[in-house]
Amino acid sequence: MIHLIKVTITVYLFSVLCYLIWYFLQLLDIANLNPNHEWIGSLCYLPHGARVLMFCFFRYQSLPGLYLAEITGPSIIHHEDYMDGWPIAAFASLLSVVAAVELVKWTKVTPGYFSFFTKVNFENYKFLFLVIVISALLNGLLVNSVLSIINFTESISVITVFRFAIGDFIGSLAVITSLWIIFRTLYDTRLIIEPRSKK
Amino acid sequence: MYDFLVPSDYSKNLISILEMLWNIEKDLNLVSYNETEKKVYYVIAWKISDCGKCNMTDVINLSGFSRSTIYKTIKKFESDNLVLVKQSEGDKREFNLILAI
Repeated sequence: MIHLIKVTITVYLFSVLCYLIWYFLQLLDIANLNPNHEWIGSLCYLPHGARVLMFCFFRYQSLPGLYLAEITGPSIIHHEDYMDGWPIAAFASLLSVVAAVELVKWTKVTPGYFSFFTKVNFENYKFLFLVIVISALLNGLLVNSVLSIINFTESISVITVFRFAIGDFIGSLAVITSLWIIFRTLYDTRLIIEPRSKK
Repeated sequence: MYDFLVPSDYSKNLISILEMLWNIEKDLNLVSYNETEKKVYYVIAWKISDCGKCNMTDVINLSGFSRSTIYKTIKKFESDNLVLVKQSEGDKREFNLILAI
């Protein structure tokens, strides 16, 4: 139970931090990639990086924290940017990550049989990148489908789906690269020790 | 006591994230200096910040490594433009080390 609480708090804080940084970057609008400020999906969506990273390493125990962040993050930051039905679409976002991890597990780790209890060694970052690619594609399709059903829109824009997928992919890479730079700096300044020396 | 000695699942998960980042760095071949070389550099930096100057003898005494290791490491730093080696004005046999960055 204590483990679950610790994981939930960590996951929630990390995800909301990603939302805050992402929203700040959106406000700066450095590259002006969306000149008309339409709702077509960000090209560097950092919260997806938080989703993937937290789910891969904290597994199913991260889901409460992730969902809390998904529903409170946008409303704390700027709720007008999000469409109606986002709390339901957030389920689809999380489902895309869960499905990607289970797919990788099924095809790469335990080919032939399926189990929720088998673990993937995400210390091998290649699995993590595979999850990022698959979940980004699934997320683009699932979230847009759910939002179109909720908002009674008949068609889904292919451009938006692709922007979601590319944004999720670049956002995840940005989160991992940022963490790498932060931890490398902490390690070089001896504020943390090399993980292997602790084992 | 047991809780302090045995890492919890939470710590293990966090260590796994660090391991993953470490593996990326290792595979991209960005780790160019080994632990000994890093320690030598830190000794030089610490001595300069503490006393304002550092020479070869200080590094040998403080780091505990052999003279040949220190000379070899400082030569590598010099070729990478990390450290400048300057002959001491007081004692011509001694060499002062200056951080280039």
